[in-house]
Amino acid sequence: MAVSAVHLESDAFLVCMNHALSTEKEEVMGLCIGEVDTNRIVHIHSVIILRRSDKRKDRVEISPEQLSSAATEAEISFSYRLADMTGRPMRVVGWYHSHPHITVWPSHVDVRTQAMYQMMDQGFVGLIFSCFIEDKNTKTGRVLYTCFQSVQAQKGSEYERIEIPIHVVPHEAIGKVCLESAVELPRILCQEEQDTYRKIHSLTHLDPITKIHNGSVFTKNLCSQMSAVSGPLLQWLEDRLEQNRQSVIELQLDKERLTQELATM
Amino acid sequence: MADLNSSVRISGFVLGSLMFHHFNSDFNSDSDVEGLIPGESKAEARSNITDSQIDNIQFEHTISGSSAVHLNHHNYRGGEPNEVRHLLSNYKEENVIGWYKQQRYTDQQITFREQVIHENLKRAVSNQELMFLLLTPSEVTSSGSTHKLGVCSLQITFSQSCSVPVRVSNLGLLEQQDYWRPSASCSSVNYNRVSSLRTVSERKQEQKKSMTNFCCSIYQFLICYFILLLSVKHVLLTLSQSQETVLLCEAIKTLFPGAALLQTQALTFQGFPVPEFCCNTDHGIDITTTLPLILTHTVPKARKGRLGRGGGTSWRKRPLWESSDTPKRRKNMLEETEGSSLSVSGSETEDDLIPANQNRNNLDMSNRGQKCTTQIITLHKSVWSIGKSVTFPSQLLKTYI
Repeated sequence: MAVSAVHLESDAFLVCMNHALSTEKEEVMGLCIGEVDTNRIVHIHSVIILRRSDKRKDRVEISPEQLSSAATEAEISFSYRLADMTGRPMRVVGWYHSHPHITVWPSHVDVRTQAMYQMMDQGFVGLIFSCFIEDKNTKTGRVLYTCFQSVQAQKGSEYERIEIPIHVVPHEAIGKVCLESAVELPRILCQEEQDTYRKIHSLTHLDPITKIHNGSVFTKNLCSQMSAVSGPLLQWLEDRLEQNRQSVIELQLDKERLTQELATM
Repeated sequence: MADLNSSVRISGFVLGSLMFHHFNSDFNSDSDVEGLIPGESKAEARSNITDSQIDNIQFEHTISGSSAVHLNHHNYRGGEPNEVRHLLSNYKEENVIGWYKQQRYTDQQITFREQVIHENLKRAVSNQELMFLLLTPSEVTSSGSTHKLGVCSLQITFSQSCSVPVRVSNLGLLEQQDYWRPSASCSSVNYNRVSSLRTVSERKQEQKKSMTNFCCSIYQFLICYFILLLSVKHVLLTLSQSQETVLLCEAIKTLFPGAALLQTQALTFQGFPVPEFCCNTDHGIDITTTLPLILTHTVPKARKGRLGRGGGTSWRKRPLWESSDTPKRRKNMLEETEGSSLSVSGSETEDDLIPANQNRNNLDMSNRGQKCTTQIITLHKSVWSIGKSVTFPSQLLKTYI
């Protein structure tokens, strides 16, 4: 039976958006960690970024075996930390991926993939983040996100999507687990690049000119990652830290003022 | 012809944080979220001359927002100048390039209030190109399964606004290149030689390394060589000194065969020689060939006769009681043999040279008596001058001084 709704914590949403907005050339993918309550509401407390074995602009998917091992690893590394905070066991409850320059609605491949995951877990949900959509007439940009599951079509053997309501739950601060997930992005991008380069470099039929070129491409791509992802991430974190310090100072001043007012009353 | 292209660029982290603040705002009051955008603004002019167009100049004006400063809505009312100055107190005016607002369920158009705030901010930061970023979240489907966030950037001038494209900085803008998988097919013979370019380069590196090691080895060898050379010179010098000492010993034996005082290196407290320290070693040196001048300069006719009779003559000191008229006689004898080369300074005991066969038994130490140190030293110096290449051994000096 399909889930009734999805409640996505705002800091988990932040990680998903940061990941989806990291590149407009390929689709990205991750897993959602949380729990399902008795009302069939899926509560997503955190997400983890997955490493892609094949980067494409219009497709991203992992096999059930990869999903199973990633889920096991996620549950081991995250469930204990989240369980300590919430007091309840956590597990992988869904997946998300991005649609850069593509409509937010899931493709037939996405629907089929979702159906395959639901065979392992009926409460498994899928999120899609559509980014880099621009209306050239009004010169405005758009970011969309949706939540869905798959059901067997009434006619035929194909699957069709069903809409699942999604609500972003406010979370005053970015949780520690989500923050750790957010800063994993540069490392995962670097690992993806290293894996790609090692596969290329292991080819024996390449001439030295090609090898020299590929080495330069590897270096250039790493520098691009640092410029486009690592640098802005670091700057965002530093600015946030500074803002938090200012907020603390203001709150302390407010506290003193209120205390004085109380004393005069 | 000039084209003006303006754009606003923000990073995905900034946009995500704006949405995060929007979700964390007070839902009960449905209040909007506002804040400042620090960053930098830069303009670039590119002149592009092609065959089809001349003087095509493109102006690129990019406003880059590095972060978003969320404003506490309770402290911020309507953008009064004093209020704005207070808000800007924590930031440098030149760093503020715009401000943003998230308002729900509205179209993407600026209100009158926002225009007032914008004008106040422009005056406060002295930036006529101040940017206003408007974010409008809304629901796409009635079920609430799909949501949308509109992002629009406006530049407001004279109560009119125009949209500026907003670009989210990401990896895709940097044109990441692909790896080459197949090798470039080229049948050129010389190109295939280039295939060993890397091998040649590696070989050169190896050669350079081996040359460096070789140079280090040569340098170490040279250091050892010079050390060895110095050692050899020192040894040669020592040998020569010892050789000189040997020559001196032989010369003294030849000149003063009976003068044990001249051949010893030790004296008693009373000034008598210690025979145990006399050198009795036969060094195997032929004086006639090695030091011929000793024989020519120091052997008078009488001495030559003695030499002829007895082979090596030994000279001894004349005892004091025999030397009553020895100074004059000695002087005559010395003058005969050595001319003015000898310096005779006294007439004390040790200077009286008489043949050993006349008074060989006078080697008795008790007959020696006192002697003149200065005369002995002078005589030694004379001997050295005869030997020419010998140096005065310091040991003998120490003995007699």
